[in-house]
Amino acid sequence: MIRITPVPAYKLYLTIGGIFSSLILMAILLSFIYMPYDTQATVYAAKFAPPSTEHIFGCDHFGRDVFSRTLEGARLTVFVSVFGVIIAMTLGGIFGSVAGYFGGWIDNIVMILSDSVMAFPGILLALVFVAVYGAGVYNIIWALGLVFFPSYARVFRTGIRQLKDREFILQASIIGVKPIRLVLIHIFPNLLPQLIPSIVIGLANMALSEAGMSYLGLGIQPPYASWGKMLKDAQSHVIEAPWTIIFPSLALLFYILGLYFVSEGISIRFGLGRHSK
Amino acid sequence: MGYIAKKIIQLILTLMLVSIITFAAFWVVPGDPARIILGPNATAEQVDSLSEELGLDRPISERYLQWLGSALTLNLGQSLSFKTPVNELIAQKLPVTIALSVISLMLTMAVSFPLAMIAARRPGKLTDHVVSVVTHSFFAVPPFVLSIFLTLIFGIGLKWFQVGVFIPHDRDFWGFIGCMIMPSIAIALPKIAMALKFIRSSILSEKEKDYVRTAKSHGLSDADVMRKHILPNALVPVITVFAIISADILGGSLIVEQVFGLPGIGRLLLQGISSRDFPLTEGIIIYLAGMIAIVYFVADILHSLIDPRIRLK
Repeated sequence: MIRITPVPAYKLYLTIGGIFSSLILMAILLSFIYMPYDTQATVYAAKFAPPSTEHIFGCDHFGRDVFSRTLEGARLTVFVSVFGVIIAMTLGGIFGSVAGYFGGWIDNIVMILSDSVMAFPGILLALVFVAVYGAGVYNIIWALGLVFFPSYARVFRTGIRQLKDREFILQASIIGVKPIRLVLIHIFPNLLPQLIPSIVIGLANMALSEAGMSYLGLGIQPPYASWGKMLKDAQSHVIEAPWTIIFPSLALLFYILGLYFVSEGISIRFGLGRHSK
Repeated sequence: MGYIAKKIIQLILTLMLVSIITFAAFWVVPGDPARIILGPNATAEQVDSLSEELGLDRPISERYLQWLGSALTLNLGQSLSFKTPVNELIAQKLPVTIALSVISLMLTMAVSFPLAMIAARRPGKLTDHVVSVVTHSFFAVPPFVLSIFLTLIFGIGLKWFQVGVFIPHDRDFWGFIGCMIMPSIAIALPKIAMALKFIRSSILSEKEKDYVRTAKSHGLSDADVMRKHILPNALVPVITVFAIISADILGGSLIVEQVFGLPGIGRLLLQGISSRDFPLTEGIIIYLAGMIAIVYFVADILHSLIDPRIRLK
């Protein structure tokens, strides 16, 4: 029997994923230290300038530096996805823990509520939120946090239901540990193997949604650069300036692919993955 | 019977909650909805007259019940920007979105099953890894980015289809289907990856079971064991996954329609959102969410028909 991978599959996934996503993180670090051009400065002489030593990713239809704008897009996308996940996880944690811990009718209500939120396909609810409250970075974060909280509620609920009857939890509650402390100190750390992959996947899903919304013009608003909006603008100039479309989509791809691979690696490592069999 | 009755009650509850969430999202907002619709530059008289038109002076519960009552008879009110009934607007655009979603779903099924069977034949070997890495990569590409690249390669480069041309279904049915092929591929590719992952793991977990060994010891060939014994059992959990995928496809088609310039629900929704046409947007949302809730319901029922054990859980 010849093994194709001399290293365990999870290490491979983690390495590839780590490389991809750290490229984006390094780009963000770079953008704080050194931003080559003003992302909003329009230089008409540089309109559709091809990639060169001056503008390594070329220039767009307003003569703006694509490299600088891709860096700014990275900053915004990561910002939105991180805070979106924080909101979704906090809400999901509260609802899911309550549902899983108390069970009964509270559990039924929370589950039907989260099922109804999940009945809205994809980013539809986020679009409603934006339709009413307007677009903009903070509204998108709230919208995505609200839309994605049910999946975290499920992780918490399932985990707590499984752990609730285990002996160490029973013993802790017998010696008088309060429910909140029980959940935070005794149950939460045991949920991490399930929670971490769903956090990583959540980051990717939020980034995807943000890009989609920005593409539709309902996400991050100009003058700020976001990958989705850059792609929308570039779409009509794809023949003259393919670089305006290639670099933002590569950046988006690296971020999302990197996160997917990392999450897959973690799942396999903890034996949750479907590759473990 | 008890199981189906329970599921019907659950469906009704979900639909009720969906309607409450949708209604509340638009009308239970800080500030005056009429003011939000008209924007900051509208005069007080304009706001007052719109408030009256929408009946905003009446109590919220009364408005919700009235809206729900008329929504049940598929009367979703009047669009503010088009000045026509919302359900007529939706009925015009729905065929495009439905056709796009159905073709994408069929494509997803047609590709993911054979690939999953190939990948699951010898898990951990080269084919399995290649399929897994390739599908993972597609999983990560947003449908609208795929759409842009498909347009670029097959539309502008190879000229296999005309970019931005749409043929209505009542004029040329096959031309209409032709317009849907590229958008469907863009929607389906990431979903194929998702479906494949689940089907593969489902097949693998069935493969370990005792009945497979028994079937093999009776002298059945691997292909027969796969076709007659493993696949039917492996399909059961996959039904639920396809319900989720259908919902995703419907959501994804809203964006992909924009890239290919298809006049579907997505465009209508965007028009509704950007012109702050609350009744129109609300109508579209409740329509789509209702459809998804029904898809989930049908999947649950199918699941219980194929595998009656689920009713006891």
